[in-house]
Amino acid sequence: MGKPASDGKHLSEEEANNLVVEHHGWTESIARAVARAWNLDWRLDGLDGAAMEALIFCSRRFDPSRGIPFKGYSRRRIHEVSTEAARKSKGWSRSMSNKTAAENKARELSAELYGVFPDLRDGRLPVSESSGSDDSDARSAIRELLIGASLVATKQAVANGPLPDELMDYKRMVGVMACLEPVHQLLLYKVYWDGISLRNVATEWETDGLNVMREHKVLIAYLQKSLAQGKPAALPKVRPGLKPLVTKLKSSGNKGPFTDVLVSTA
Amino acid sequence: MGRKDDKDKKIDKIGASDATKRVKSTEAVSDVEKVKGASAVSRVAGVSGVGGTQALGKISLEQREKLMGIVTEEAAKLAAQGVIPNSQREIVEQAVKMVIDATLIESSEEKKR
Repeated sequence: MGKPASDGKHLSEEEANNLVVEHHGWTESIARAVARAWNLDWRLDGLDGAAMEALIFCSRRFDPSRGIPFKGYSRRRIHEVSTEAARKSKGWSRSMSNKTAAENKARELSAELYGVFPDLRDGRLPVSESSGSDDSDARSAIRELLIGASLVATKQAVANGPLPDELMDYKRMVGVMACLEPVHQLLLYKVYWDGISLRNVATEWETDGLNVMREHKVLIAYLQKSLAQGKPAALPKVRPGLKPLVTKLKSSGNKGPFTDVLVSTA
Repeated sequence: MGRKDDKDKKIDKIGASDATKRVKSTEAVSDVEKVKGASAVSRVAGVSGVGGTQALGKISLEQREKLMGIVTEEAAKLAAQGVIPNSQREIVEQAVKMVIDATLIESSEEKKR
């Protein structure tokens, strides 16, 4: 191998350069995937350069003593930089003007979904626990993505002023969410309105990530059932890990952000 | 009767106590045996299903067609149930396809060191 690491944690320059050489092809495939999905040219639109820069950056900061493989450490960063480069590229704005309004909206919506489901950047569907069947896990994760995308689309439409024929749909969705416990409303609001990932919500609430992920799954199932039957389903109970927050919200008189929206628009 | 019992229980003589014996010295602790290395796990069976994913939710380019098919099917179901408003269906379905597609790379690239 190369020279020993200079500070005992990070790699020497030679070792870092070896990582860049080894992972060059893999990095390009990430940039190509982003370009393919958004119908861009990965070279002309500068995704190759951005991805390579991210690879070099990660190789310099990689600390092998942490026990995380380099691909696991760098993939999210490389993907993030590639998507940012795509959104700033000429191809993005050029194809925006050529495409239909629906396609443009879909593209903007997909870019926003990475904030809600950052696991996608690691090449993983949002699956927090395995049911034992990959097929049903994939199907359930895709359902979660579709309902999540619908919530983000609702938020975008509400912010931009919805069309009259869409107004009833959005009011129905907000109405179903407003029936929930304030803590559940807050969870949905933080994820879909503020664009904070589930893991970051867990950190902010000083609770285990799985608590928030499991609760989110329950809320999505509640939304699906309520919207399908046209009236609110049985309210999900708050899991014990989130009870301290319930007390806090109750003592501050918080009724939930969606309830506030309904009250203010009534 | 009671009087006879009292007579029977009289203490005759207190015997001398035995001399305290020497406390034996402890034996030296023999060498602690070296911790042996754990034997390697022979093989972990692959996961079956959508192309045999290795980590939870892991997807690759080889599964693209299947995943896109699931998105179409589930979007249709959710729209039919009224979960996704009809006005949103096309956008939502397309956005989810894009977001998945942009994460798919060849599994051969994933496996390379």
